[in-house]
Amino acid sequence: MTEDDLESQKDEILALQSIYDNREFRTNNETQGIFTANVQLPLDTVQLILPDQSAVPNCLKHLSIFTENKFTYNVKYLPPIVLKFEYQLGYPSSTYPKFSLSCLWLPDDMLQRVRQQLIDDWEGSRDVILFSWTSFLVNDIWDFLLLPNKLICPEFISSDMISDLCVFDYEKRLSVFKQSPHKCNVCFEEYKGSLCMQFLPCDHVFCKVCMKSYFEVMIASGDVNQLLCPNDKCDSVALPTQVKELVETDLYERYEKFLLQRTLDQMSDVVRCPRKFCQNSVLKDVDSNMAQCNSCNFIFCVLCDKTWHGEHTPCEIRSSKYLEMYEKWKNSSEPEREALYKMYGRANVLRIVADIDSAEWLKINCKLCPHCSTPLQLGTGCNKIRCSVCGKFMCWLCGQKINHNDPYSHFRPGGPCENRLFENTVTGFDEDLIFNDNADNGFQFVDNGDDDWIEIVFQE
Amino acid sequence: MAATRRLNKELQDIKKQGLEFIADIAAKEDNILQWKLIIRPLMPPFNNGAFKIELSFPTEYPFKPPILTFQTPIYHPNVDEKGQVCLPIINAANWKPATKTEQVLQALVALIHEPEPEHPLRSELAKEYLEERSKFMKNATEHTTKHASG
Repeated sequence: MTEDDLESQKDEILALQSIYDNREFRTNNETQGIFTANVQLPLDTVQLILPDQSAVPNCLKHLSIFTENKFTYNVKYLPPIVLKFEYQLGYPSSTYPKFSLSCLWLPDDMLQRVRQQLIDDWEGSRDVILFSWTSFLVNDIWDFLLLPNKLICPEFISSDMISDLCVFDYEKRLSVFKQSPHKCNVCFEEYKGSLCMQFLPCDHVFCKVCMKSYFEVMIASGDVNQLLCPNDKCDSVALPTQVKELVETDLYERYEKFLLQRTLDQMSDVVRCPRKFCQNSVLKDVDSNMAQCNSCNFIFCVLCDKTWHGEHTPCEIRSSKYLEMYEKWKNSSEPEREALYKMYGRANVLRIVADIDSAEWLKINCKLCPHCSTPLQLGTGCNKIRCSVCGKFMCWLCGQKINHNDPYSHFRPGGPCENRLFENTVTGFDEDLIFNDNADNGFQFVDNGDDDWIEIVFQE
Repeated sequence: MAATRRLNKELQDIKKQGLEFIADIAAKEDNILQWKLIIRPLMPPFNNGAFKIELSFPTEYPFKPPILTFQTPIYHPNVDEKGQVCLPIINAANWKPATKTEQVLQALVALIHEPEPEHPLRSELAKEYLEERSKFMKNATEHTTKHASG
């Protein structure tokens, strides 16, 4: 071994260390090293073509696309080709380094061809060769092997490898996402990916702080049909796991109940067990208004929620005793109320009070959607109201259904409420003003957990 | 507060951009949630007018949309006598938090330039716009000169 060779080896190691970071190139002493080549893909992504989804991990199945009887899974990152080398006496002047190549997804015969190409490369120059090898592995491997842009399973890639490829790609994307900066289109600030959340499948990115407020505002106002991506005209929906990560537990539970309840409400044959402690979803009898709860066995009328009273007996109207007790409770001091609680049970008394209060409040402040009977409340804007549950229109003034395709015709001359589109409406934002006109007490929307999922409760 | 920071940024951006149809734009001195601006439409019959607009942002902005009202009367099928406009982009049901105020103003000017008589707030103007266009243009020009010149 000549002095020159030794000098060249040292210089080469130094050069590689300055070119690559220590994730790509590592050397344990001056004679050995490992290079991890992240292969440059020709078109940014490569498609894995799969006969079925069985090899894709469950949590990533949603990323595969079904077309022409096959599943396509796009990967941006493939596992690297790993080059291990050890300098030999006489390198670079008279021999090449001892080396091995390994790669999870390249077939052995292809790796063998690459190996031969690296040796030929050294033969051609008989000089330091490692940088030429590493840049070949990163940049030229695809063209050299004439690899296609679609990797077909099982012809090219065996199906037991698919799971590893999908997971590698996913984790790499995640780590790249977390490291790179993203501009939030809500606050217009730039944040590192680890502080951001990404909607799927649109890939739009927003900061977690904004999305937390966004979800909170939407859930608190009951507008949770879908928590949509904030971008213009984008209809990606936030995943429940994303919502759960950002909002407080109680708000998340409320959101879940909202979604479930809304789905169940839209099924006309599913009702809720009226027993406050139960609230189970119950399938209604096909031929009558009777339903039997399969959790607590209560048999009830779906119209009045009372014990089933037979087909031919009308529903009983709310007991006058309730109103009597309500009045008594309203006009009593706390010790007198205690007596009432003792007699009827605290929970019962408070439930009846709350029920009557909500009914009163709804009577004063809400009108029923003429399409689906949801109580609606006038917010800001005009008298054309869109039901937040069924999405159809009503006129706030007369309570009638409005033509969905031409809602304003109702307010035009000749229409039932001509020129009254903005009559009595509030155009400011101070919602308290609207409510305080009509209600003496402050109120809030609360979720008391064991009752209707949203209830309006008055506070003293 | 999130709304304040974003609105300050939006206001700066709009000023920097110098949109040709905006003559003057500012927030109220003590309240960034209330904006006043003057719009000068570029197309007849409103191109000789200057229309005062008020934008009012809720405290939940940008998660809830702003409200926009004309302070200057305008002879337009989609703006009522009180200055209220039904602009789909700021309708609560359509609102998206990434929508910028600049886009709202662009949509407003587009509506001023091209009335949408198929869903009017003032149907007599819509009818005139559709059936007697030259009369509408004459009336609108006169109305603009009378109420919105300057």
